[in-house]
Formats: sequence, structure tokens, C-alpha cells
Amino acid sequence: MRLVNVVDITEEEVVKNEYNVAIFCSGFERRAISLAKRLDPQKISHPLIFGFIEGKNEINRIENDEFYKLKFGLSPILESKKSDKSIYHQLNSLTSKFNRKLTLFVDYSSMPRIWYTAILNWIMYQNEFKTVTIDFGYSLAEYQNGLSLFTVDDIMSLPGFEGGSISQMDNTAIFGLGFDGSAALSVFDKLEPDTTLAFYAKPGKHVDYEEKTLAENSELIDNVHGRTIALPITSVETTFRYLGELVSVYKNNSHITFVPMGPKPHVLASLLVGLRFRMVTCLYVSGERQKNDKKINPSELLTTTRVTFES
Amino acid sequence: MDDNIIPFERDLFEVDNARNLTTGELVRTFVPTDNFWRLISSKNQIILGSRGSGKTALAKMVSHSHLSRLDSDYAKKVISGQKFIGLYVSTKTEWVGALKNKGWQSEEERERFFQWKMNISTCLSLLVTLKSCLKSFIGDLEKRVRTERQIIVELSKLWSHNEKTCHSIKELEEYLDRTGFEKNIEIARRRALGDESLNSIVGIVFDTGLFQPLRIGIKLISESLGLTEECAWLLAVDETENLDEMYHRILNSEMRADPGNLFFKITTMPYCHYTLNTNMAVPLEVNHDFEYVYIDQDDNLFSLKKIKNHPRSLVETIFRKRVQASGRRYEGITVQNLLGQSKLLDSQEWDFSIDSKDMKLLETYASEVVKKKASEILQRSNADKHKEFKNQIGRKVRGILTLRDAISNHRGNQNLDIYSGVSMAIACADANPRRLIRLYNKFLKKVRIDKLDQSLKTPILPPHVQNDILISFSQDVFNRFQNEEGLGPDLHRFIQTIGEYMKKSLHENPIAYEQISSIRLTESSSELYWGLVKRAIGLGILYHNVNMENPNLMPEKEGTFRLAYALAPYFKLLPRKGDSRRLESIVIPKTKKLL
Repeated sequence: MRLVNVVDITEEEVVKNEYNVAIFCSGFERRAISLAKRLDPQKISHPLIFGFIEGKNEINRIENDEFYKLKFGLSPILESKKSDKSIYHQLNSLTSKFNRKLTLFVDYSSMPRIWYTAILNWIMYQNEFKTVTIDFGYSLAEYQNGLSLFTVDDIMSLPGFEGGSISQMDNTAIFGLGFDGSAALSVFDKLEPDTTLAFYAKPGKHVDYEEKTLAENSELIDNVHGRTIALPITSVETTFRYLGELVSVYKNNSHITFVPMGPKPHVLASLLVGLRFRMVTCLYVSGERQKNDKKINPSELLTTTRVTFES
Repeated sequence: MDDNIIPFERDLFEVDNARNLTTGELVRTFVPTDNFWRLISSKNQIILGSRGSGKTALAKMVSHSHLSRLDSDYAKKVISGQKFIGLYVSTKTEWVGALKNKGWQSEEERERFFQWKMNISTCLSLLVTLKSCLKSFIGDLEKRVRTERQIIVELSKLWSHNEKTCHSIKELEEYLDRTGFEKNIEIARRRALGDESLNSIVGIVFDTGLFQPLRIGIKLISESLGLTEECAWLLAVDETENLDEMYHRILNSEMRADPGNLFFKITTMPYCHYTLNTNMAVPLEVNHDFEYVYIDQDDNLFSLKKIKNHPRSLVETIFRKRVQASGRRYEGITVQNLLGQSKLLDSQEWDFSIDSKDMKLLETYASEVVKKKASEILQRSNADKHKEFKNQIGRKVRGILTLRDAISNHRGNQNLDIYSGVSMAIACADANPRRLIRLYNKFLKKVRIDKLDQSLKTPILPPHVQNDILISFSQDVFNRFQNEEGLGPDLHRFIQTIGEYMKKSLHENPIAYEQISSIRLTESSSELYWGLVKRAIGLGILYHNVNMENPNLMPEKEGTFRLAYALAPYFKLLPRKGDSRRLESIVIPKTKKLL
């Protein structure tokens, strides 16, 4: 399939739409159920609830699992945050149940990127459908106590987004900035790109978050070619378009690597650009926070995006 | 400034990494040392160097495309003699990233994919070298184009299993690039649809023994260009610290086997040649199957002494080459007139008069043992007593006393100027070219080029400005590794504790003959600490003390390791070897993660 369109949509459109499949993720964050609360189970033919194997006995997690059981009559399918196997397995098992136009909803608020990357990969390689429409929903977070230090474990390409990684061309790295400045800097040191570009969320959830991002990443920003680009957290459409234009400028003379370390809507936009420009590499920086930051509350703000694929 | 040298458009002081220099820039600014010439040989070698030590520069310069442009009589002789032809490939982060994300593969599948990827990457590198060889060996343009076409037609058929015929190097490069990309797509497709078999048809020729497609290509090119059997092909594989131990084993197997005419120059960080094992029954034998070339702590990069057969020192040459290549911006500026002398490191005459500053410093800060010895020497009646004093005490303690005094008397708003001077900058660079260039860049950025005095008064950059730069640089070095993969925070805490101990020892205790600036490990030291020390050495945060008594360049646990001089300004130490302490006698907080 090929990516055709990326547009911002409203919450109302999501709520009133009917979906063949809706995919949720149960975790310890309170916002893991925020979007599911707003949806009518009658409008979803096949709900899929995935839950992390890790932390399945935490109190918030148990409560979230209970919510999903009550709402959809389903317990989460357990999967490691580092694996995508059951994502593919579940989606492949449902393929024969759908007609030629498939509609999906994905709440990626608490979802590890390996999982929603897998969903995108699955769609890209389908031959059964004429169109696939996927609505992505993201509940913006309030970080009551900030975030603990993120320690980098490994750096790898997201599966299916390796791009042209054997290329001998110069390398342009495009960093999506978040609160983990020292982690981003360590990745920068490893990549040693010829050209460095960067973007961050503005407007973000708060002005404080914008300032914090710039402060945390000041050393990396010193190495950025030109200015650090401000892109809205609530518009994947705008971010996708802008990043696509950026890639168009550099792609003929340089191999491009995305390192999205900021908020998930920006990660999603980066992946969608990776689907449009297949030679682009999207890296994933895996690691752990020093402690689980449980006080992450959902805000009222949502980012909802409709992505359309055609055969 | 030589008017015949055409400068590059950009300021090369802003590019501290060989990876980011163009071929022309790297060649123009490269200073070949003995270590480099060792690599132009029919031997398998593993080049060990900490981050920023110049491994990539060395590896790239081995390649024909770079060596053929080096302005050196010996290089010209090597190229025209057609005895050595080099090629370069890197297992950089993005390259390895595509290996690591296939956690579902079995070990056999992972090996096969690694071999596939390495095969296609080395074939791409061969094309770069072919382009350079054609230019060097065939002067006539028409003949060169014909020869290129003839070689590429054959190569493309061989490498595409007769599916594709290319007629130019560019076309074949694009085909290989595309094939690499399609392989990843094919794997992703099979995974998404639930068929995880690796029986793939994409790039089937590369799914053979490691380096077989490369060797076939080398044979074809050698025949076409009329190269003799004596011609050795040198494959530089850069950044292999990124590879897992399994892949090192695979590469080791190649070094163990009969090389034919292909030899390996593999770069990695110290202690990051993870195994000597091979896929055969017999492991690698050091100095038989290969040799280590250790490039850290090159004495030439610590000193202002002229290098052999050269009018100036290596550090001055590095500076000068970059100045020349960056145009007239920095005309007239040398390292000496930019930075001047160092109060702490350059020797000055000791003032023996009773009320001199030197004697007062001794009285104020030195330990009783030192003061007693000083008094004893000075009370002698022999004519050499001042010379004896200088050799036994003055030379050792002067810098430390001056540093201690400067820090003790420093008050918030005052400008500290103690970390300044050429010697200081060179020391703080730790013989690490990347750090040295980074420092040069920071210094030059502070120079108002448009307001330079015609007479270029030394130092051009005021000492207090240099001091601020060095402290900021040192802090950056210290902060930068705290997020290293795996054990960054533990390593950061480890170095912080050691550094604070050394700082306290220097600034709060009476001064002995030497500061404490090294740690000592023994056989009984814990594996946890040893793991942290190895990692620190790889990053250039610790260095082992190599001397006549300890000539081992790569000790296994038992040894003495000094704190990087780059951290001296941050911890308020002198960038100089000093005494050591057993690591266990320095209190180390518990670290949570083991290596």
C-alpha cells in the first residue's frame, strides 16, 4: 500500500466514526484509558487491547486492565514493550474478517513505538485492501513531577524503517527533541552526522515545556545547522508536511536519519515521513527511566490524526 | 600564507571529526605518523584507540581514494607501485541499527544477515576504490572510460546473478544501494505477514561466504588493470566497537584464514575487541594472525618538540594545516602566539629569596616532609644546591603550589587565569586529535579577527579567557558520557567520586611531592570496577599509565590508570601524571548496574 494522506481531525470525528479494529494499550499511566473512555464499544467491531508484560502487577495497571475488561469484555494480550510479535499475529488473524476498506483506530498515548511501528508496517504490506484508514489518537500528558533521568540502553533502527543504511553518502540527522537532552546528546555523539537538524514541540502543552526542551538540549542545539524548528504538538499534519519538505531538500545529497526523541505525535509524524520517503532511516533509542514516573496524568488536550493508505 | 594553497570554503576548525570531513579536507589536514605508515602493510591489524583518537582518519586514509591524494613522497611511491590498494567501510550506528532490530532471528539467521550486509557494503566500497584506481593508473580519459565500462559490465552481472547489467560505477552503486534497501523491505514484509523465513531472493549473490563477492570483484579488477599478484588489498573496517561479540568472531575467522591478498585493518576502542575466538576450532593468535596497533597517548601529540624530519611539532602542524585550509581568516596566528606560556606547566626559575612568592607558597602549603627536605638542601654549602633543589623539589611542586594558591584565593567575581597556555591546552587534549581541534576551535572563536593587533602580541587570547574555555571544555567532557549506552550513570558517579577524592587530596591536605591523579587496580579488584575502568578507557576518561616499569599497553585489570587530563580543569587538578591510590581505598558508592 502507499501512504496517500495525513490530516488532523477532531475528537468528534473519532467518537462518531465506526471502526473495524480499535487498538489500545494498557499500562500504568492514567492516560492509558483516557481515549477509550470516550469511545462507544458498539462502534468497534474488533477491539484489541495489548498490555505490557512488564509492570503488569502495578496498581494503576491493574485498574486500567479492569477498565478494559469492563468496557470491552477483554483482558489485555500481554506483550513485551520490546517485541511486536503479537501485534502482527493478532492483525493477521483478523485479515479475512474485513472487506476491502479497512478502518482502524489506534490510541498510541501509552504505546511503545515498536508497536505502532508494527501497525504501520502491517498496513504497508497488505495486498487485501483497497483502502486503509487509520485514526491515531494521543492524549497529551501532564507531568506532575517531571521525568526521571533516561538511561540509554541501545540504539537501533525501527523495524521496517532501516532506510538506505548501507549508503556511503554524507549523513543528515534530524533530531526530534524532548526532555532527555543528555540522551539525545549521547546519540548525537554516536552518530557523528555531517549535518544536524532539530525540531521541538511549540506550541507544546505548556510554555514551560517548550523552555525546558530548549534548555535540556542546549548543547545539541549548538551543533544544529540553521535554526531549531518549532512544530506544534497537536498537529501531526503540519509536522508531517514540514518534515517532508525538509527531507526533500536534503535527500539527494545526503542519507537522512530521523532520531525522534520528543513527544509521540512528532514520533508518528517522523515515521509517516519514513513511509513517504523509504530511504530514510528512523532510529529508536531504547532505555529506561531511573524510576517509573507514575504521576503522568491525562490532560483534556488530544491530538487526533487520520492517515489514509491506498493500494 | 602560501598563495598557491586554495583554501576550503568552510572553517575546518569547526569540524573536529574525520567522519565529517570531505576527502579533500581530510587529506589536506592529515598529518601522517609512524602509526599510520604501519597500516600500509600486508598484515592484519586491529587499531585500538579511544573515542576521538583518530581511528577513522587513519582508516579512511588507508583507502586508495584518500592515500592517492596525500602529499607525501612515500604515499606517491605506494600508489604508483601498485603494491597496496585500500578500501574503507564503516559499521557505524545506522549500519548496525539494522542488525539489532531483528530480535526474532536465530543466531544462524543473524550471522547470515550480517554476512549479507557486510558483503554488499564492501562491494560498494570497492567501487569507490575502483574509481580512484582508474584515475591513478589510466591517464588517457577515453581508455579510462572504456576500462570502467568493461569492468562494471562484468561486475554487475556477477553481483546481480546476471539480472542486471550496469555500464558505469555510478549505475552499479545505485543498484547496490537499492538492493540493500530492498532487502530490508523484504525482511519487514515477511515479518509483517507472518513469514519469517530468510530464504530471500534479493541480492542472492551476497548470501554467500563473507567477503566472497568482494574477492571476486578484486580478482576481476586486478586482471583488468594488470595488477600483479604482489598487490595487497587492505580492507579498513571502522567502528567495530558497535558490533556484538558474535560478529567479531566472524571477522576473526577471516583473519585466521589464509588471507590470499586481502588484509584487514579493523578499528575499535580499547577493550572492545571482544573476543579472540573464531568459528574454527582455533582462536586468533596475537602477533601471529594479527597485531594490535595502539594509537592513544602518542607522545608526539603531548609535546611541542619537532617531529622527525619535520620543521615543527605535530600539534603545531595540525593547527597550521587547518589554518591554511581555512583561508586567510587566521593568517599569522600560531598556537604559540594565540595561547602563550603556561603558569602551571612551563618551567620558570625558582626565586630563592626568603620573602619570594615561591618560598611563601612552599611554607604555606607544602607538607612537613617536603619543607624539611627543602630546608635540608638549601642549608648545604655546595654550589649545586639550587640545582638540586630545582630537580628534587622545585620542578615537582611548583605547579601544584601555584594551582593550590590560585584556587584558595579565588573569589567569586575574580577572573581565574590559571588554566592557560599552549602546554596546558595540549595537555588537556590528552593527545586526542578531536579534543585538540575542538579546543583550537573554541579558542579561535573568541579571537576578534577583525581587531587583531598587527604585531600579534602574545598571547592573543587573554589567559582568563583561555581559563574559562578550558574549564567549560572540561565540564563538557565530564558531562558528556553520563548517558553512554548501558552504564553511563554508573560511570559518571564512578569518575565523580574519583575526581572529587583527588581534588580534595590536592586542595585540603598539605602538598607532598605529587598530586594523586591515578587509581590502581589489582587482581582482586572487582569485576564491576574493572568493567567501568575499561569503559572509561574506551571513552578517553581514564588512560593506563604506560612507562618503563609498566610497558603493557593493554593491561588486564591489574594496573595503574590516570584520570584524563581533559578532566583536570573540572576537578582543579594539574594535568600531569602523579601518584596513585588503590581504587578500593577511595570510597565508591554502590553502583546498581553490572557490565
